[in-house]
Amino acid sequence: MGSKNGDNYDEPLEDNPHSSIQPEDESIQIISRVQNIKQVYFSLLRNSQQEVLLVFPTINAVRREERLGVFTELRRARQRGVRVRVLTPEDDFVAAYLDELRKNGSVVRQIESSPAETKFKLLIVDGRFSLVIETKNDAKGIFEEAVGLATFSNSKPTVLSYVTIFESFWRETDLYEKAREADRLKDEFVNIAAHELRNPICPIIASAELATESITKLREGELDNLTLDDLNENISVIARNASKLYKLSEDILQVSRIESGSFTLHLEQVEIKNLLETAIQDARKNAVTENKPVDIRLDYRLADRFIMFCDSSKINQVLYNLLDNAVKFTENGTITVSAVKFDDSSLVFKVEDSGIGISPEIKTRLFEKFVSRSSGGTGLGLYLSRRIIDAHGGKIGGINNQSGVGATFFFRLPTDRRSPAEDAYTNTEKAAAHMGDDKYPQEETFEGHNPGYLDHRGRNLL
Amino acid sequence: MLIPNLIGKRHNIHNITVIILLDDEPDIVSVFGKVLQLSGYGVNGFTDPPKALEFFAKNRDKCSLVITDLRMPHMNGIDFAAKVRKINPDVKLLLMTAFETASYDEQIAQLKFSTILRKPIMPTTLKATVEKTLAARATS
Repeated sequence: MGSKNGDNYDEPLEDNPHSSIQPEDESIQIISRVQNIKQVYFSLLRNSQQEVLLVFPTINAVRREERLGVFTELRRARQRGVRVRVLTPEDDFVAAYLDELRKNGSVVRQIESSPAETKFKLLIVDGRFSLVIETKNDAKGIFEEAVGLATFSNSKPTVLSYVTIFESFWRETDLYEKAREADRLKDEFVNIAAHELRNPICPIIASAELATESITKLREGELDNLTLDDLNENISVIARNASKLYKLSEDILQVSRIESGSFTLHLEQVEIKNLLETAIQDARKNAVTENKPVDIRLDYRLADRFIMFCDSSKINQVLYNLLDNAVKFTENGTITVSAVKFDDSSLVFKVEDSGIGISPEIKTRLFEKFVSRSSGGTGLGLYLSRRIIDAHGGKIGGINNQSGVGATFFFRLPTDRRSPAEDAYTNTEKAAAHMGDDKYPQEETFEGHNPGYLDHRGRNLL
Repeated sequence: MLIPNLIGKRHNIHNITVIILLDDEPDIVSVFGKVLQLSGYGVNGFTDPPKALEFFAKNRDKCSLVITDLRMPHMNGIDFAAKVRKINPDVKLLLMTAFETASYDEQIAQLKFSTILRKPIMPTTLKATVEKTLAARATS
């Protein structure tokens, strides 16, 4: 069939290259006649038994080979149970053909159309045969006019090299997909964040103008209580929204630090009772400011001076966030903060309220960005709380109370952590591993089965 | 929610132009509402779309203009506008938004919004746009 020196081979080939090959016959052959190229191509596809790996260099190549009948052969190969993997550029025109392939079980992944210099077509069958076909002129509509030379090989080292090339492209498409998705999520975040920032800016600008008008009136002698009241209101609005802007920009910064991998935990010994009491005091002040007749209580079930390692300011942030939400969504009644030992190596903190509960439409997306915007909230509180608890090696969740009134948010923290290095998202690799962690499958971890709160392993948290 | 105040300072009670203003941010409703009231319009402000719809349904012949935010929880401005159009196909509509609207362009055109106001909105821009919108020919 050919010699080991890669001679030009122009005589007609036998139909099945597989049958007449002996191990001593391993070779690389150059095929220049287009009819022979087609023959080998189809013969390889028709006789494939285990796996077909295929690379299309351009959209036009996809079109040409579809016309040639390649896709029919691939379908038949699938019917014989052959694994088919395809790397190909994709556009609206060829999407239909490619989807057909996908439907019958071929795995088809998108690659960028190869740059002008490397328009080769690659076929590897059963890990034993390779066929590489040059594209001489991609503008041509038929296969025979578009292709140049081809090399066929059944020589193990050569075929394996091509397999390696294919597999590395294949892995790359995976990373590419993830990077594309992460990019899209980031753009979406920036988009939404920009909107959220514009909202508080509106009343600031407008109130400043209204205040100026009021002052003009005062200067012109139109002094009356209404004008002073207006001024007062203008200033309150400005102050309130400036504070919102501040909170929002802080949250956005924190999100960006987390996503870029520079978010670190500063672990230290913290007295839990103190931590909780401080958080509750702040929450009580808020409730008074908002004129809410809610009673905030501490239900502390640990040793009096119980100490654990954690980042106290960040855990405080989480407690503050949960309490803030509890107060916002509760008109009156009681909010209970509790700390209880879950097992020998972890604690559970709970914030239980008697408010309006969690609405079903956001229940599964509670800890994602900008999902629930409580009035005055930034939309990032729960997301950041989740990332903080995750960084501590814990888990956070929220469910509606069985009584039907209010909700309970809780998080579990391990008490046996000592080394900060384990927990911090200090390097980009770890951050990258969590890219696209925007989906947080709440249902799987904490959703309420009776009697109450289960962790991700189904254990009762109480 | 802004307390409905139908009496502007320059028009007498029979000549009031009534505007509905809807945004989920209470400060925006109260401040923009005030700006428009000082220009003589009668403004009814809402932060809750269903309540705004209820009011509009009861006063469909008196309301000349409905201004709504785009991104709101529970019901976005597009869905709200569609419901408003069902009640009164001729009322003028204005959209306020900080968001890019590209994905909604078709619906915005279909619902015949007179124009889109991009946040942050300057009080002078708001006043001028409202004036222009009300002066324009009726929506066909």
